[in-house]
Amino acid sequence: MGHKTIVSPRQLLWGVILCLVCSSLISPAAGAARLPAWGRILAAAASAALVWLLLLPFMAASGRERFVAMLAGYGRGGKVCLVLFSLCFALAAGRGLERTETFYRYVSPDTLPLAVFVALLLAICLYAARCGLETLLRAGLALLVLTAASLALVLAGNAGQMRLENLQLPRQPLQLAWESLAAGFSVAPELLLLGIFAHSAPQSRPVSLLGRALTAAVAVDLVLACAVELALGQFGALQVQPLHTLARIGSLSVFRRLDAVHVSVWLLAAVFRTALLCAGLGETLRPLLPEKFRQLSVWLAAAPVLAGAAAGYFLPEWLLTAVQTALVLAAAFAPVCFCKGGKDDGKKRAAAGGSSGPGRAHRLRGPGAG
Amino acid sequence: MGLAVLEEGEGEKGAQTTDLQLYTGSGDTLAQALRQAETSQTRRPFYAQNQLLWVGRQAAEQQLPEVLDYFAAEQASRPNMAVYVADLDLEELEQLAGEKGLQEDILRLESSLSRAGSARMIYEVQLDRQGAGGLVPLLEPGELGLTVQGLALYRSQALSGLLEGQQAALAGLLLGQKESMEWIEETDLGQLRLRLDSPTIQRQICTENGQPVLQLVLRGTVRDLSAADPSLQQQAAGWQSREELSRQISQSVTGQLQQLVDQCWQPEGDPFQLGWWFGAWDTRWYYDALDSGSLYQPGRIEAWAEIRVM
Amino acid sequence: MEQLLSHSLLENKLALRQLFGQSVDFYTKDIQICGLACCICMFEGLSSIERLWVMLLDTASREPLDVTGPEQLYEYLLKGSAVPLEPRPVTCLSEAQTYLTAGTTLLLIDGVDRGLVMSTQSMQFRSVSEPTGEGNLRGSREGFTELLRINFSLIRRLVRSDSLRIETFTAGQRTATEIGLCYDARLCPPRLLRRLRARLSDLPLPVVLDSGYLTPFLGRGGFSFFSGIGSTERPDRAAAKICEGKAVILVNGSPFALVVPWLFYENFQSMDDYSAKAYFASFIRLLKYAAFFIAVLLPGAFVCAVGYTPELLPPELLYKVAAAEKATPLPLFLEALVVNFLLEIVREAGLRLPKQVGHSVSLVAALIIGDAAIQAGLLGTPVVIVAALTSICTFVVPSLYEPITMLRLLFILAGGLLGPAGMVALFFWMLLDICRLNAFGLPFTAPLAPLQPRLLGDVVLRKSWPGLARAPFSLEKLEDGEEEDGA
Repeated sequence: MGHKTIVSPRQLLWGVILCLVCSSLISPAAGAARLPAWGRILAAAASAALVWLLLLPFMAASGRERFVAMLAGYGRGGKVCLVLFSLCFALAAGRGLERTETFYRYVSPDTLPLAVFVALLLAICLYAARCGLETLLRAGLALLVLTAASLALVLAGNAGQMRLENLQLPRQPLQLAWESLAAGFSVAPELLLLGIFAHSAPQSRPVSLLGRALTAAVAVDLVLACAVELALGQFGALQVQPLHTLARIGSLSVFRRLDAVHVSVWLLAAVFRTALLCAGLGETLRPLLPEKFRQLSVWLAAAPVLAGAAAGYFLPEWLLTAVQTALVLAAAFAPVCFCKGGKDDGKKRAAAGGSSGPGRAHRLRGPGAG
Repeated sequence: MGLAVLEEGEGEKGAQTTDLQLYTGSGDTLAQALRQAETSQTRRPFYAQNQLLWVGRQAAEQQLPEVLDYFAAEQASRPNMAVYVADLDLEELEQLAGEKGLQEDILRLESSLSRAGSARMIYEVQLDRQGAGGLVPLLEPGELGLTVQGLALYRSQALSGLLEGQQAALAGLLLGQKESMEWIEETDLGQLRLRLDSPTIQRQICTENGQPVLQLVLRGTVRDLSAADPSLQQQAAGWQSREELSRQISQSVTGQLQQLVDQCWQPEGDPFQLGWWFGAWDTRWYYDALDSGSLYQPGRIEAWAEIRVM
Repeated sequence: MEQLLSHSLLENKLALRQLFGQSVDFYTKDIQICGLACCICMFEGLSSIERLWVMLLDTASREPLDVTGPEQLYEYLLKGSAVPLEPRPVTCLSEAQTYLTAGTTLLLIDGVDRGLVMSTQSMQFRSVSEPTGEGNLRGSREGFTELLRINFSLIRRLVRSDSLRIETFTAGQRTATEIGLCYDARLCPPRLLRRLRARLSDLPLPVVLDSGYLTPFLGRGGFSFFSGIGSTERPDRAAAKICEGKAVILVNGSPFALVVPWLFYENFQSMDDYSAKAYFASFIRLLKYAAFFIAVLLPGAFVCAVGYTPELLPPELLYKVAAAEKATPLPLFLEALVVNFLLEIVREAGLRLPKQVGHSVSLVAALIIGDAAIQAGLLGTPVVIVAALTSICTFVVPSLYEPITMLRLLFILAGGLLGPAGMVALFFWMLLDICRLNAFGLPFTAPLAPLQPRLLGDVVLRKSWPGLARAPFSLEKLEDGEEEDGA
């Protein structure tokens, strides 16, 4: 105890990039899998630019004293922001569990019972969150390397099958991209982690991190989309998990079915993503709990995560995406509004001769590593 | 519907043997037939290492797209099987299964799959898209067992023809086969068998009279020259005018290539996806020409070969 | 309250006799020096009469002694004579006990309430020999011994720097074992030293018979398979670690020195790496990393692949494995567990048996387990081959033997019972276990995670010596890198 969580901006960036890449691995955006690569390039670029613009104020505000105080539950609107963040991360982590289980059930003929799988994954994710942000991000670096190696192997194993003629040529790519953007736009909740944990990464510039994370994620997504289309053509567009199909088809020497290895690596990335979201949930839930329960905030996050998973199983995908996006945007804009409102109040008080300033600054302590 | 299962066992003195068992089933649907075949034996079938899918004569003529759709399903874990049209019916297959030769044919085909472009995977044969055509290797029984005798050409999801001999070899090149190609050339000296090494096909759009024309250029070198008649071998090896021979072979290949392209460049099916090049050049023009039907007019594709005899 | 020595020689003798009981090896002899009654006390076996004679008695008998009283004699011996006495006299019984059990001789003078200590140690100890583990092709063949002072000398010989410091502590309420802390005052971070001193001064151990007893008290945090404290039997390795700014802890009676802090990548280093060419050393390092992962993951992955994802195996291998599994009575997962347990039993038996009988163990293991069981169809060949390969890989990284062994069994259980999901969960947990460990404030996975590219010259691949010499590794650089990234 008493250990202050310090991570480097680079670690935080890589962790978030891995989370974003994971979304391309095991749950291609609904509908986008049917987009030709050319349309996907346009849609992804536009989507990334829009997300960057929407989250810019949030990133600019994060790391500041008032923001950090809000994360600790102090200041005007602190608790409201924390509730929004908690709901956002709970739903995201729950959906992460659900997607991981669905993916695993889809690709594996022999699967564990649902309750066992979810319990196992939830336990390991909460344990990871309990270990602390430092530990999680260190593990994330190793997993990022593994994931990169896996994707490189997939691409290498399928290089012989890639043909230019498989690339689709849409009639109106711009219109296609626009329709896809309108139908499937979403904001990844893990991007908020760049702001939530900014105070744990001194000298980080969340705005710059956001740009780099989005660029990396879009680049990876496009490379994979192009690879799928080059190798599979229109066949790939009909697949629910096109990257998994690519992994199944590729081969290296006598090993013709390495997809089990790739699936294991992608599952690791998915578990990491869910664990990082659980860590974010634990961080935002802690100030909302009574003092005696704060130490157990990570474990108490199990209930909201399970609720999010249940929502993932029973509600339609479009509704979940809409609610998630709305929560992310609300959670992103609420602190900005409250921070601005607080500043205006401070100015008014200063003008009226009263004391000004935010609530007292609070250096958050992470759960402690090691 | 038949399931051919190769079983490893131990024969005399511990030597490893491979036996072929054929389990058959029938039903109103493919799924029913497959289930019956699976349950006619006691063990659980394991498809993940399956490499070959043979579609019999009747099914190939009438319902190849349905068959491919079934086996391409993701969860069935089977899209990387090599598809063949087998000129057999079930009785002939059962008869062959009783002979030792069939399992050798299976093993030979499996070992040949490692050569790039020598087989067509399920995901490469896309018949369900309008305007798409497909070429599927054709197996026919012969003296040497079941061998690939050509390519079955599909248009509008129906079998429309066969490509055999030199045309099948050229079709293999156009489909992405990068290895050498066997070519038989009739010359004054008789029949010459040559091997075309490192063949490459260059595709390029150029405009003639304001209209785009796709130029297909096949380039390759010939190093191994052998005469069908051994008595001509020496003369063939010391051929005086290699330029003359190169020109003759190039002309011959050009003729075959143009014939192949003209045969396959049809609105109902474009198995070599040559239309893609027009789309890549100008997507709008491509779709306008496709809608108006002017895309597939004669003369749209020029093919020639540049073969050099070393 | 400490019982002080009295002026009466008889009382002091009686007090010492009472302290040590009637121990047969406690030797006292009344002597006279300059006509004054004295008494020499020592433990036979720890001290040598001959050395005592040479150091004191002979000297005393030769030197002109102008002594009239006991205090004069005392002062003369302590400060005026050439007798090599310890500088600090003994004033109480507990100090007398400490010195006597260390092998020194205590000289008591009637009329003086202090005792004089002479270093007449002559105890039997194992000579400096080649270490049992950590074998090298090149480099020193010396290993630490059980005697602390000799171990100090072995280090002092190699680190001939004025900044090498050696401090001693005592630990173990019943054994009062001496512990040495060696470090380079210029390179070792003061914060680390403060922490170590605090912990070594306050070890709640009743006995300390090996350096391994200290490990749980030096480290912090909950359970982990891995440890941020390493050990070595080689003085050259200990010297190298001191030159990196680390601290080495030696315990009297143990030939294993503790190195603090110990990072993950150091388990894959050996002294041979620095004697060989950089390309070969790098290759061997990569082999070791691969061996670690093979040793941990292979049996579990094999069991999981055969049981849940058999498509992973090439067809020919799959046929053989399926045929082998068909012929044996146990499921593959249980077979793997049984074989691995048997291997551990064989290893343990080979370790504990007398050498004369030890050969039989290998014979029994090879013939019965390796051959007869397979012939009888009790065990399958693939499982035995996998287990054997795993064992060999385990021995490549001996410092990680314990975690590898336990993790291997856990992976077999996870792979056999839960399939790929279990393997993924357990691998993630193992990764977290490695990453969450901090070795005295430094991440156990440094400089790999968090990544510090400037310090990667000797981690997975080894730079050539000119490159290493330009920027030698030190703990301070690691800490500075952490601060640059995080502060």
